[in-house]
This record gives sequence, C-alpha cells and structure tokens, in this order.
Amino acid sequence: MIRIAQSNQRGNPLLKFIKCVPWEYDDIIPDYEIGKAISILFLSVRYHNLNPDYINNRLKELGKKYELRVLLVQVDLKDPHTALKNLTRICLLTDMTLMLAWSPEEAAKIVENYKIFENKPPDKIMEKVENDPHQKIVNALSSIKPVNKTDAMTLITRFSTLENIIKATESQLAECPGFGATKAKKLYKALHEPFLKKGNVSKDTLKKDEFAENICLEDIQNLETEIQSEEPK
Amino acid sequence: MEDKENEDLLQNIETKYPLLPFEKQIFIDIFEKDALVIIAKGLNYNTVVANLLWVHKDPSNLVLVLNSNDHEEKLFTEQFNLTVLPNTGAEREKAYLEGGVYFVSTRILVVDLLKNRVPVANVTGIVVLRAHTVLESCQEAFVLRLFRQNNKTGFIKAFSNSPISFTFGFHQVEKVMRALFVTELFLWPRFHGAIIKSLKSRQAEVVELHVRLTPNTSLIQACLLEIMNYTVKQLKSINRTLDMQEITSENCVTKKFHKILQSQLDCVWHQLSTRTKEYIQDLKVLRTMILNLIHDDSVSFYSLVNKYRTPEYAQVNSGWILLDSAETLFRLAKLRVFNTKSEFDPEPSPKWKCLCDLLLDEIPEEVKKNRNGSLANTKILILCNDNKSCSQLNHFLTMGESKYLFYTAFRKDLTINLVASKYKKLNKPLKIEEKCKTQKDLENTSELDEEDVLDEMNKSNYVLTLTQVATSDSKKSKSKSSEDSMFEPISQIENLDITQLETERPIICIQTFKQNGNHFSLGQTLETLRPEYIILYHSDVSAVRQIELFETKKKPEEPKSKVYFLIHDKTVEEQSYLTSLKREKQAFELLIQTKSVMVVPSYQDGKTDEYFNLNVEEEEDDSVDTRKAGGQAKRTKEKPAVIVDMREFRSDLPALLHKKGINIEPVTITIGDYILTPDICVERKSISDLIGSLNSGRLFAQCTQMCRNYSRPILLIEFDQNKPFNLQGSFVVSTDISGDNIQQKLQLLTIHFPRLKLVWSPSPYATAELFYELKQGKNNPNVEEALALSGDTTAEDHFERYNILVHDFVQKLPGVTSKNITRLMNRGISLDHLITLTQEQLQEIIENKNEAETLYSILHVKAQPADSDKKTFGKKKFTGKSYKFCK
Repeated sequence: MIRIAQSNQRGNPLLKFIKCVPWEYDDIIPDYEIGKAISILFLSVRYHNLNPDYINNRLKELGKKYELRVLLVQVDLKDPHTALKNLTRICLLTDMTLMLAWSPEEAAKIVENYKIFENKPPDKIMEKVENDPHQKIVNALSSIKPVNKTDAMTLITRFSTLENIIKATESQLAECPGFGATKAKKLYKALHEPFLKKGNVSKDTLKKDEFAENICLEDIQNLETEIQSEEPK
Repeated sequence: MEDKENEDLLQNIETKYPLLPFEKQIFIDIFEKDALVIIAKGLNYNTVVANLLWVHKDPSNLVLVLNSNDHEEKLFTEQFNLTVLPNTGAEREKAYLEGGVYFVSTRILVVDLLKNRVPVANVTGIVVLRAHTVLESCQEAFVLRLFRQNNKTGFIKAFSNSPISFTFGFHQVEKVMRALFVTELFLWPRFHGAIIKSLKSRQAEVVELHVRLTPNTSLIQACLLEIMNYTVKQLKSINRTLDMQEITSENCVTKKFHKILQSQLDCVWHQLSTRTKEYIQDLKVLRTMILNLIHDDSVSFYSLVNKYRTPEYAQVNSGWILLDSAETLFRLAKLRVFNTKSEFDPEPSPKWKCLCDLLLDEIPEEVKKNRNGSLANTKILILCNDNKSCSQLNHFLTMGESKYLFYTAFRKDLTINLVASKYKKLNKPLKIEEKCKTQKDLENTSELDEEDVLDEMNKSNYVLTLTQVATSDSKKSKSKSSEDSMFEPISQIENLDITQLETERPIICIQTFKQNGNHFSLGQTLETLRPEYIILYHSDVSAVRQIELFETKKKPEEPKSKVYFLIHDKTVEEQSYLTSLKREKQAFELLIQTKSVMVVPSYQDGKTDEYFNLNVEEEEDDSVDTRKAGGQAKRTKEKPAVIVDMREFRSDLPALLHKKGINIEPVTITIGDYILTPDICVERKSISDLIGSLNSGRLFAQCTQMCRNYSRPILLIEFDQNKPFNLQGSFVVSTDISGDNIQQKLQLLTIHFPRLKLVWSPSPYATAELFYELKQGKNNPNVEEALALSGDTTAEDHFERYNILVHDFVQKLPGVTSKNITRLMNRGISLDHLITLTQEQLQEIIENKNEAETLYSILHVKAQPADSDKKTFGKKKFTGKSYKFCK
C-alpha cells in the first residue's frame, strides 16, 4: 500500500495513472510513502519556478527520515535547464535522489515501480552468473583481488573442497604453483576475516553526524536567495 | 596579368620533392597561412606535407604531427629518417627539447601538455593530418587549445582528403576550423581549374570496356535491390524519429555504407530494438551478397547464398527470406552453377574473357606494333577491389577458367553429382586429389586448409608472367586460353623488388587499390613498377586519380600508359562508382558555398588573448596573471582541479572543463570517471552506455565500488546535445520496444544505492557548468589517494557493515542469493565458523532448505575433477546460444 499525503497530492493528475498498486490517503510528511525506507516528494518545474521557496520548506520538514528520499520532478516546461540545474544542486546538498518524468503518466509509472521493486533483490541489474557450481567456485575465488582463474583451478585441484581451502594455512597456500607469499597472504586474509566489521555500530552513528554537518539547511536557503537574485538578470 | 605573374612565381620556386603546379600552389598557400586544406580523394597531400616537413626539419624547430595513421607515419618516418618518441614521460620531455619533427599520438600529447612536459612556448608548429576527424569533442581539438593558449606564434596547418566527412552534421567545417584555430579554408576539388590544367598537360590513353552482365546475374541483381528496398522501408517505418536520411538502398551499395551506418547509429545503438538491429544486420548481408554477385564468380556466389537458406538463419532473420524475390534469388543462383539437367556447369564471370583477350591478344599486338615485337619488360598492372578478388584473378589466370571454378566448388564443399561434358576431363585428376586428401588425417588437413585460405586472403599482390608468348600464333593461343593456363607465378618473395626483375617475358602484377588500408600503396607501386598498361578490373575514384597524377608526373621521354577500364554496364558497380563521384562533387559544392558565406571572426586564430577571454571564466582576483600562473606550482593549488580518468579523454567533457578554467589531472583510475572533490566521484554515462551497462551488470559493479569509496557518488546521465531533451524521456529510439524496462532497472539501482545521486544533464556543456559550480569553494581531490583507491588495497571504507573481501566472496558461492546474504553475514560470524556447521544449522541461518543444501555441498563435497573443466568451458559457449533460441 502506498500512502499519499492528503493535503498536498489530492487532485494531482498523476493519481489517475496509478493503476497497478493500491494506495490510500493519509497524513504523512512526504508526498508519497512507499514503505519504511522510501519516500517521494513530487515537484513540477512550472510550480517550482513560481514558488521557489516551496521545495525548501518541504525538504526541511522531511529531514533525513527515510533511507531513500526521491525528488520526483515532472518536466513541464520547454526550457527547464536552469531550473533543473538548481534542483540538481539542491538534491546534491540535501542527499535527495533526483528522478525526472516528462508527463503525469511517466511520473505515476515511477511511483508504481518503486512500490513494485521495493523489496526486490538487485539480481536484474547484476552480472549474469553461471549455474554450474564448479564454475561458480572458480568465479568466487577469482573475485578475491590477486587470484586469477588459473589460480582458482589450482586451488580446487589441490585442496579438492572449499572446506580444505579455508582450513589451509598460509604457508600451504603459498606452496601452490603460481602463488607467492603476498598472494597467499591476501587470500588467507580475505578468507578469514570476520563477516561483520568491528565497532561497526559506533562508526555508523559517527558517520551520520558527519552528514548532518555537511547538509546545512542554511546552505539551501543561501542557494535559493542566490538563485532568486540571479533570475531577474 | 596577375595570373601570369603568379605562374612565373610558381615556376621559380624550387622544392625538395617535385611538385605539380597545383601542388606548388597548395604548398605556398599553406606555407604562408594557418589553414585547413581539403583535397579531393586520390590527389594525395603527402608530397605537399613532405615538402612542408622538409622545410622544418631542423633541431632548432619543434614540429609535431598529429592524427596520422600508421601508414602515413611509416612513410614519413622512413622518408625523413625520423626518431620515434620514447615511451617514458621523462625521456619524451628530453626528446621534445631536442627539437625536430615528431609524429605524436594525440592521447600522449594531451597528457604531456597537461603535465607540462612539452615546451609549449617553443613549439614551432603543429601539422594535423586527416583533419576531418578533428572536432571540438576530440582530443586533437583539446591539444590545439592547450597549444594555442600558451603559444601565440606557432603555426597550425591541417590537411584532409575527405570532403564528404564535412557534410555530416551541422556547420561541420566551421566547427572543425574553430577547433583547429585556423582562419583560412582552401578547397581543391578535382574540378578546380589549376588541377584540371595540370592533369590535362599529359593524359594517359583510356579505353573503357563495357561488359554486359549475363541475364541471370542482372535478374539476381534486380531481386537483391528489391529486397534491400523493402528492408530499408521497414527499418524506417519502425524508427521514425531517427535521422536516417543517409540510409538508402542507393547508399547500401557504396563502399562507405559501413561508415554511414556507424556515424548515424553508433550514438544510439543500445536504444534500438532488436528488430531494428536485425534489419541492419540484414542490410549488411544483402550488401555483401550484391558485392559478391558483381565481383565474384558464380560458384562462390551460390555457396554464399546457400548459407542463408537454412532454417537457422530464417529464425534470426528479419523476414526478407520469405519474400518472393528471395525465392527467385535462390533459384537463379542455382541456375548459374547447375544447368537444366542439374549438371555442374557454372557460368564464367564475363569480365574474365575480356581480361584474357586483353592480356593475350590486344596488349601483345600493340606492343608488337609499337616496340618491334619485343614483349620483354612490358609491365602490366591489374587493379582490383580487395584481396579476395586478387586471389580470384590469380587463380583464374594460373589455373584457367574451368579448373578454377571446379576448384572453388571443391573448396566450398558443394555437392556435385553430375558434371557437364567439358568438366569431365578435369574431374579425374581432382578426384584423385580428393582421395589423397581424405586419406590424410582429416582434422589436420582442414586446419591447414584454413590457414592456407587465410594466408591467401591476406595477400594483396601477385606477380605473374606469360609463359607462352603469343608472338608466334595468336589464334592458337586464343583457342587454348580457356582451358590451359598461360601464366605462371613468379616466386612471391615479400617486398619483391620489381625493378630488379629482369625477365624476357612480360610481367603482370595484380594488386588491390589499397593494401591493408594503406592509401599510398598504389602510388608507391606505380612509382616503382612504372607499368605501361594498367587494367582497372574494378573501379575506384581514388585509384583513377592516382593514375592520373602518376601520368602527369612522368618524365617527357617516357611512353604514355594505356589504361583499360573494365566495367559492368548498367549495374550497381557502375552506379556505385557514379554515386561516389556525385557525393564528392556535391560535398565540394556545399563546401564552396559555405566558404563563400562563412564569417570567420578575427580572433579565431587564438593568437590574441581575446579568444580565450571569451571562453574562460575569469577568476576575479587573479585574472591578470592566470596565464603565467598556469605553470607555477604555488598558484595551481588555488585553481580548481579535477581528476579525470584517461579513458574519458574520448569525450568532450575534459576539454569543456578546461575551457571553464578548471585544471585537469589525467590519471588512470578504476573507480569513477571524474573526481571533483575528495568526496565527490562521478560516473558519466551517455544514454546508450547507461542502457548497455544496466543490462550487462557493469553499472551495478561500478556503483558498488563508488559507494564503498566515496561519500558522494554521482551517476551522471548525459543526453545527446543534438537531440531534444524532452523527447528522450522514453529512452529508446525504436518504437517497437519500450523504455519501461530501463526505467525500472534505474529505479532498482537507486533503491539499492540510496546514497547514489543522479544527475541529468542535457549536454556536456551543461555538465561542465554544473561541475564548475560544484567545485566552487571545495577542496581539490588528491591524486595519490585516488590512485591508491584504484589499486588492490580498497582503502578504509566506512560505508559498509561487512568486510568487503569476504562479503564478495561469499556472495558468489552457489546457494547464496541476494536475499539470504544479509542473514548469512549477520549470523555466520566467519568462514571458519561456517565450515564447522552442519547442514541443519546452515538451514537455520539461511531459512531455506534447498539453498542450505547447495551451500553445504559446495563447502564440503569435492568439486568436480579437473578433466571436466574443459567440458564446462566448452559448454559455456553453447549454453549461451541455446538460451537465446529458447527465448
């Protein structure tokens, strides 16, 4: 279910075209809420030109509440370039993802797609992989930087199972033809690091703070005034 | 009056290498002014360039020659004994300082200029060859900008002999001239008064021989043209928005067709539907057929056509094969090889007879008349289109007509049951040969055969001689001509010095117009061989002109050459010759027209600061000495700088950024294309690239890398500036597929990389502007850091929850999917831990029985033995194919 902000979006022509997914009106901060992680703000270039402050206030309200924040811009002017350039800069400063649509239909498609793909894995855009298990192991082993396909083959013939490769000591790895001390060291390190990073959580919060600093809302306001002063020229 | 003075002046000028009057004129023009010279095809500019380089070949000068192709480089390097630039930067720097003439590859020069390795202020000048490939977008233009910005006195001289290239696009000549910083344009079409006068002074004797096609051949030709028309119509109907003016069936038969297709479709290739691509593929097939029809013998044509008469081809083909004309085509092709009683009785190529007559009767008789009967040292040059025709003619002349046809049929694996009476005789010896061959190891012979054939295809000249001199009895030889070979090959040593050859018999040399794309090969052969008779087996504008030039440059005491022009009447061959003439003429007319109305601003030569002031955004405070500051280390820190991947120099963005006053750091980086600040990394994609890389999965990998290493990764989607920005919303060009798929994939990408920012740019110009704004007040990126990230040590990345190396490894294991990887990573602790678990415990983590089973077996069960490896590798290719068919 997509939740759509009642106050802002009622009467938006794109609503007519949302056909493939269910939706309801609700009182929410963004214009469209796809799920817990994705939100969309809608803006038409024409409207933005008339009310340049509007998007500012909306962005301020939205803050950083969702992981993916999309600014869906409908291009309905003949020459949208200056407006788009400003919007691009705003998006870069406020960490918004900019999507463009040229008609209400396209905009509705984009909203629908976000709902449909919300929880889909990225398989569709990843490299196609072989189905053969042996080929897969070779691929996996050769994805570790210094190891190439031949090395991977050597490892498999020598140790026969993945278990043995993992259990092998660094010096055993180094004995394989084609392996040197450095290559063995790197492979050994890769195979034996823990999955999770140490002190991950604390770093995460630190990182967020950094970002908060970077995106100062005053910046945006400065930008806006700058744009406004430019426009009369 | 003036004309006369001019002529006197021309005669008084002595040049190192002899020039014709019109060439002298070109030389004087270009010597005095910085200009672009466009010369008609075939009237090569190499002697003019040679003189120009000779004038400047001196250690006190530094002249750089740009954009030469390998053959040009080789020719001039040998002529002047030039040194080749060393490979390392430091050594190159020294070489530049030593002066002289250098042929430089543009990419190297860009980097050297940006790194201040070239003593720019001391460069005497730059010569640009093949100027039609220079455009604002290209690196050549960038080099010239960098050069002109810091050197106001050096010369820039540009040459081109492809007037047609200047007719594509809008205001192409003006653009090229602007990019070259030249103010003058000189045009030298074949119909220029001076050229006509020069070439008229001494003309070769020309005999045009019109050869009729056989009725079947002309019928086949009609069929093929009809099919082509149909295909072109279909192609246009599903791609209405695309500019396809140049794709017509008339152009299909010209030599440039591939080039035309490329120029029109390359930039939108991924945006076309598969159906469109099929049509284009079919046009190429039809084109090879029609060329084969005209140039090759009936047997090879039949075997070529047969290849397309299979059910497999019908599946991948766009549908022409179902047309009535296609059926007629197949029937007629067969009729040319087998007679009504389905006996093997191929019709010979009509030009062969003509050629035989010439070689055996006409020329010897003429020689007898003029030179008292001694055939010795008569040299005959036969010119044809490609290596294949060369080898065809060679075989035909050495083997004789019927034997050759039979041999071809044998080589092409045609099944022959019955043989017409006149081939019966031949049958026996060949049958024996055949038996011998089958006895040998089959695999071996086939491999060897292939090699032989390949060797043959690569050879582009043959030297033959007449064995039976037709002096005694021409009638007798004529009757024999069709059956027995009269010619025998002279030992084919590489780089055979023909002038040294002293034989009693006439020499026949068979050659292509261009040896492996070398434009000068014909000129060189003419110079060394100096043939008395030239037979043009095929027609080529450039070759005709080179022969004209050769004739005019001969010394007065030398005898005139006689040229025989063999052409099929009223066929695509004639048509394509005429079309290429017409296209060149039109191109020149257009250029003359443009020249007459062209406005060249006086600052275009870039010799004043005016030009650069117009383009470079000035920094308020240090505008006065930006120019000086360029080289100094202190100042550069303050100037905005951007790291650009070497491979990006193919696009116009680096040059445009430089125009904006941003310093460019050319470095080979593996992550991203541009690094603006320590956190901003940009991957640039044109629409076509975007679609291609979304489909191949490359973009996903690139984004993963960017997100791991930079806090602000940007995906820049750049539209084509020549297309309307709004129309491109649908991504695709062809109307029979939709862009939804791409839109979805792009959205999926944003879902998985929420930090990835999208930037939509209507043109490189807008991108440059945006980059400029993003740079304001930001730090410059650090080259060392960027390089370190490109190496194998993936630096401290704070943006991932997991250790990447092991994550990527586990991700690729069978049984691990994008769905269960998170669970596995969170709960699995490490690989050491995973291998201690039982299958049930794994199942608990993964929450799926099948996947747990696969993963367990991969960890503990021995992987397939090594000998099955080869099978899997072999299979890989096939599975790919069968998968396609399944779809």
